[in-house]
Amino acid sequence: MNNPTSITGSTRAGIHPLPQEVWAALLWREWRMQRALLSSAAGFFLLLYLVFPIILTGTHAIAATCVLSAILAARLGASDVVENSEGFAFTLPARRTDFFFVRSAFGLGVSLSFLGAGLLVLRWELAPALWGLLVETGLTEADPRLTPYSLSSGVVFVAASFVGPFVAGTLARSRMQASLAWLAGLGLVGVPPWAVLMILQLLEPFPKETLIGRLMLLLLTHTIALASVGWWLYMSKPPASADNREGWSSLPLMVAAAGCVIMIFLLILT
Amino acid sequence: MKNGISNHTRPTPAIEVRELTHQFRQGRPVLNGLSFSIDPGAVYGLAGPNGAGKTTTLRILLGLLRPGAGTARVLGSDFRRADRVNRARVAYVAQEHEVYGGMTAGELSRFLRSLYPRWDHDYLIKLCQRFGLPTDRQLGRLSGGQRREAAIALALAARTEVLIMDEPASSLDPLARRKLLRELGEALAERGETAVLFSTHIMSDLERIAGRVGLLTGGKIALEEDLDALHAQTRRVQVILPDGGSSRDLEIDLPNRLSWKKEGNIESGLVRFPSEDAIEKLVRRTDVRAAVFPVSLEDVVVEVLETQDKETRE
Repeated sequence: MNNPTSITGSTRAGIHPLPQEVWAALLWREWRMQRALLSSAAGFFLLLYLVFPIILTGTHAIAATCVLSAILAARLGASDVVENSEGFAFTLPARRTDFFFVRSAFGLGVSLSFLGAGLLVLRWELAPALWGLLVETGLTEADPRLTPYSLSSGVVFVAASFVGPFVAGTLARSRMQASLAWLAGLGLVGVPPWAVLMILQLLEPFPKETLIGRLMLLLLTHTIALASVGWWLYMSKPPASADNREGWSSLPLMVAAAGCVIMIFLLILT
Repeated sequence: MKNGISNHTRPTPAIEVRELTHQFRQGRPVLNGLSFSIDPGAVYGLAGPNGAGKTTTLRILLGLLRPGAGTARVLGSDFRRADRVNRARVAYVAQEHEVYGGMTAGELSRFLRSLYPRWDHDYLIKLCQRFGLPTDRQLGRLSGGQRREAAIALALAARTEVLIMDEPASSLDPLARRKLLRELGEALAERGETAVLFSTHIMSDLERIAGRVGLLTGGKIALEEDLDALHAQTRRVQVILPDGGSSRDLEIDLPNRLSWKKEGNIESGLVRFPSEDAIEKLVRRTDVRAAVFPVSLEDVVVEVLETQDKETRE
């Protein structure tokens, strides 16, 4: 018998939750599940920006954020697959659209926050200021100057580094696929615009100075298209039945490999 | 009539499956015109051998698979397209999927109470105590059986109108299974308004908690009975006939034979009698020697499956 006095735990007992409450619950869950990664990222942030200032330019900041973005995206997108919980998640009162958009908003928000924080640290020269309290280091001065154009390019890079792996993660059907989602996703989001650009360059050569601009435009439109297609595929995906004993999901390995790939890409680009 | 509604109107089924058909890519048809319905408050056990399509049926009901044809509705709507309000009226315990292993039962309660309007945290704690489950350990660190118990406790604490469970006790050892089924039976008895559909291939589990059973084989329901009626009116009958006689010639009234075989002058099989008087009437006949034995659900299911298998091969 449904005895209202026995229902506890919610001040709105018996009343269906508002969409905002559902999204807040999903956000809390994602924060709970990713806090280890975010804590590690915060630690690396302090190390790389302040303690051992290795990130000294806006380009470095963008690259580092892209690494975080790709790893976080793959983990967010495939979090239900890795836990073998997609069947459970897909039957909750939250719809798949809620999961998709809350996770992507969380991940993009975190990534862009890290980018913003990093650029501010460089802009305000916090590392030399901190070290200057202790010693005269002769520390290389940071060169944080980013033009609005390169800042917007950086945002596009970070967003693309998130969307590709996120979509790949949501479509994963095993732990192995989830582990490789960051790589597959980077390829998914990066290769087509690059290929189109090369074809355009062959058809009608254009100055190198316009390369970045065109790449950014192609990357932006491709990222938006990929996100839309990824959402549509996620809505109709049968839940994965991942045996948790198969495959691997190693965070340090993913971070190292993602970092290498992004650094190589940026070296080629620059 | 009251308020324009006939007093004889049947309530809307909590679960309704009509002519459901599905086959996998390899081409093997799993469901072939499956139909059944479950009233609000009923406990329905969907039985069948391994590979019969029980899990497939539940996944189609919950929108996890698209059917080839037919309809599957929960509380009158297609779950795949259901909004959050209707989704919050249904809870599911999967066979092959886990609840979030990275969270504790306490954390899951905090998470789920924002999704289910009738979430009962105190009831969850009580169930965890009954099952002996820690509420402060991540579910992924519990044993397989404990995770299954936790999943059932979470589903019950949601206090939904429909509860769907796929093989809730099949992966447990006999002692754990018995304990779980006892607790489940008590929990379901406490909440009469919840429609329950659970699948199993273990007949003794069905007998413990189901009120009605449907046997799924060959892609369809081959047998559908209320368990009380089945126990009261289904018997194994053995008739020893005079030489050259047959049960039909002697007009032995056995209209609903679930299975029947003849070996010499002995005929036997399972029979569904219309009433207990009919059983008495047969036993009291003096021209034939008829013996009647009680049967378990497992006996009935095995015989029906064997008969179906024989008919398919013929």
